[in-house]
Amino acid sequence: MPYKQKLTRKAAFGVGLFCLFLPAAALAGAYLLSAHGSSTVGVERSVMASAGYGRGNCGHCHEMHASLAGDEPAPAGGEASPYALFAESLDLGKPYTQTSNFCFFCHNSTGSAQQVTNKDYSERFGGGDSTGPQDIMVAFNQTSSHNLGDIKTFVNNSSAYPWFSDDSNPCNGCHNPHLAKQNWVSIPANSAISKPSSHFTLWGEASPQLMSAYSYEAPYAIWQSTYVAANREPDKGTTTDGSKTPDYVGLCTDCHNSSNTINSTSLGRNLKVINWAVGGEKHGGLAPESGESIHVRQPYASSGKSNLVLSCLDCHDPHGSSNIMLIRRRVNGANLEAAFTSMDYMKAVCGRCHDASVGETYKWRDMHHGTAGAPYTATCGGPVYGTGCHPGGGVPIPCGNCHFHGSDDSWLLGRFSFASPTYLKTF
Amino acid sequence: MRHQAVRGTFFVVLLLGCPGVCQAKVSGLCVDCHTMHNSQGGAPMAYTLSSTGTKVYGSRVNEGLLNTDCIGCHQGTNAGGSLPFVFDVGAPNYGTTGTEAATNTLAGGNFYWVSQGAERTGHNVSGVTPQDTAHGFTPPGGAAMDGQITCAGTLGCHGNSSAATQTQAIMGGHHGKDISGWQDGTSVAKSYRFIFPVQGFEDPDFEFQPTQSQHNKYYGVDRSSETNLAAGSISSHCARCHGDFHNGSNKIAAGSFGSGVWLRHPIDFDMSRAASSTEYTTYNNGGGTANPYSVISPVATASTSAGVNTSVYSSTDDAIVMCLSCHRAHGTPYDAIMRWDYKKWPQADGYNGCAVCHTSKN
Repeated sequence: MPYKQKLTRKAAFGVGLFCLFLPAAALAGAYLLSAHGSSTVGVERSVMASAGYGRGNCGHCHEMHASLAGDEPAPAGGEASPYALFAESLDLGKPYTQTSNFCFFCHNSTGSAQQVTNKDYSERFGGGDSTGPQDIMVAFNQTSSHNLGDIKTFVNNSSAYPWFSDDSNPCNGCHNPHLAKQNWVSIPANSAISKPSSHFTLWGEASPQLMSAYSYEAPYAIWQSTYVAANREPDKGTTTDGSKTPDYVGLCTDCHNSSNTINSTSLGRNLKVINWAVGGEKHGGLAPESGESIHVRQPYASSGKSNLVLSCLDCHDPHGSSNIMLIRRRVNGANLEAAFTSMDYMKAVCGRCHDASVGETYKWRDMHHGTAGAPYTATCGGPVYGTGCHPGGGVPIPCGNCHFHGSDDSWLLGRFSFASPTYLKTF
Repeated sequence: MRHQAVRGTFFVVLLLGCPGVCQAKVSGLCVDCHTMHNSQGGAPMAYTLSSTGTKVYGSRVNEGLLNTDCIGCHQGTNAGGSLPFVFDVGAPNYGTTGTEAATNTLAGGNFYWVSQGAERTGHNVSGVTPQDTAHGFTPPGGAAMDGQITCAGTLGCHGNSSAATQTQAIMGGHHGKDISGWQDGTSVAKSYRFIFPVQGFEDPDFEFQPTQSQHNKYYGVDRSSETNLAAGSISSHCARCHGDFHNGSNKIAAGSFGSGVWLRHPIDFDMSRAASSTEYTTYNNGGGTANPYSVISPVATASTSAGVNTSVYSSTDDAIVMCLSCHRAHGTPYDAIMRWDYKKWPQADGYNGCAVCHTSKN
């Protein structure tokens, strides 16, 4: 049997096996169900619409022959582009323009092909106002964002994602443009995301690909000082267990896990390793220390759940943010008290879930030094606030000194003669 | 009496020149096609057909002693006979894809729509329609021609493209045709539909109301290089004028042809080699082996046997994408001579013939 036929048969078997696990909707028109393929809200490049192409038609993105009635339609680049798209992505860095990335010809409120509005996570699902970015390109041009060039480099160089080519669009790392749906229209049945390791299927539309697969408590979209079931992300509804939130942990850790080394040209270093699995990090699957008191706020304080696991998007806005580290501008039902512009101001985001004022006037001290389970009661001079770890006397030290993905307190080692690291995880 | 003798002699000569009994070779009386002196009772015999289909006799004398030109013979309404009509003065029944039971168009479609002024719905063939107002003599994807496209000859599709005139180009074709065997492209008569030197196997009904087992068999080449001209393939012939859409460096593929990224829709490439997706394995709702052949979105094959290919993924290189997978050669009701109303899809009045191959894009 010719090799190609063998391949074909293997592929056919794979497809057949794959189809067995496909939801019926995917078999009956996955593209038409997608945001791009919708006949009512789908892709609609203005020049093609003028030529009579129906909304959602392939021709709005693809040019089969780099020609429309004999001429290349706008935007005309003079040459055919990879994947027969109407333009090539030039992969330029910030500030991103529509020529930087093919998607920005439309996902840009001033896009030349089409103008598409997309709100950030904080507004769409976090209950925030419309002061944030209103399109994807603007979102990527904020203080921090996923570095599209780095995504492309990482995904393209990884053997885990063989479908990705030199000419692939980095947005495709998380999205399949032929499948992605308007995720806010039907929550969670509509997903816009695909795991890069499973690019040809959507992720997070139904159990078990939901945050309800974890010990998860949906944060507030609108802050409530007491525990109530209402006003929860992502729809301001009453679902508390994450069964309306895609498993973003599963999505993000496809790349951001404890195995991959991901270089960030933006930060000039490799990204912190993230281990959200059982035994990994405290905000993930690692159980709290025995007797640990972290003074959490609602709804976590009264959730009745142990070993809570956060969704990555509880804190991060995936495209970009006005804060550093893609930290959302709104967390757990309220906007951050201040812009999170350096790790010194991490309390702005930590404080949305950790009540820093419990037990004393000096914020954060009690949870480090005062409570029964506080980690630094002796080496820093006892339960009362000391001076050894805090150069300058009573000045609090930045949260980011100890708390970041993958962190423990080993940074104390050798820094102060009296300070002994516990090597306990601190994030 | 004299005329009858001439007719009889001419017919005998034709038969002697034919090496055996040939299927679909032109048959009947010589006078059906030829006029010896362009005169019958003193009246001219050579004619053209008007836009309403009536014969217009004039003073012209045709090469080959022919009564009329290509359109003169091939203008009419198909009813499934042996004479293929490619141009109807009335609106043909194309249906949705030109393949439905009640349709009366053939594999190439029909020039009717372009003749009505819808320039993008057909090849702007001289004698059928004026030259293209948008592009003149320059075909999309190609270089300027010396004049308007014709049925045959240097500027045409049928016959020998090096011949000076249409009649000379097609000469010997009708008399030498034998459709019972594989058309190997070694002569005009042995070329698929006289498209020299294209290979193929011809449906005797010209795809009148085609089915899975009754259709043309198109020849294709599973290329490994975008500069391969795919000699003999039906698509290579289209590339004579629309070359950029078929071959040339950096015209079709970025990187390695077949395993890299496409710049334009691949042609003369076997779908079983597609690296980017497995969706093609379910071509026409099949399972990846012996998928049913689709007459809506047909594929070419490298097979040169005289037999209809009723399935796809049954033999090596039998799923080759070709120009005619999406387009027809003469005309359809749709822009770009598409086989179906691609432009309007996914609106309600559009049709997604693309999904025959792109099975996940539905």
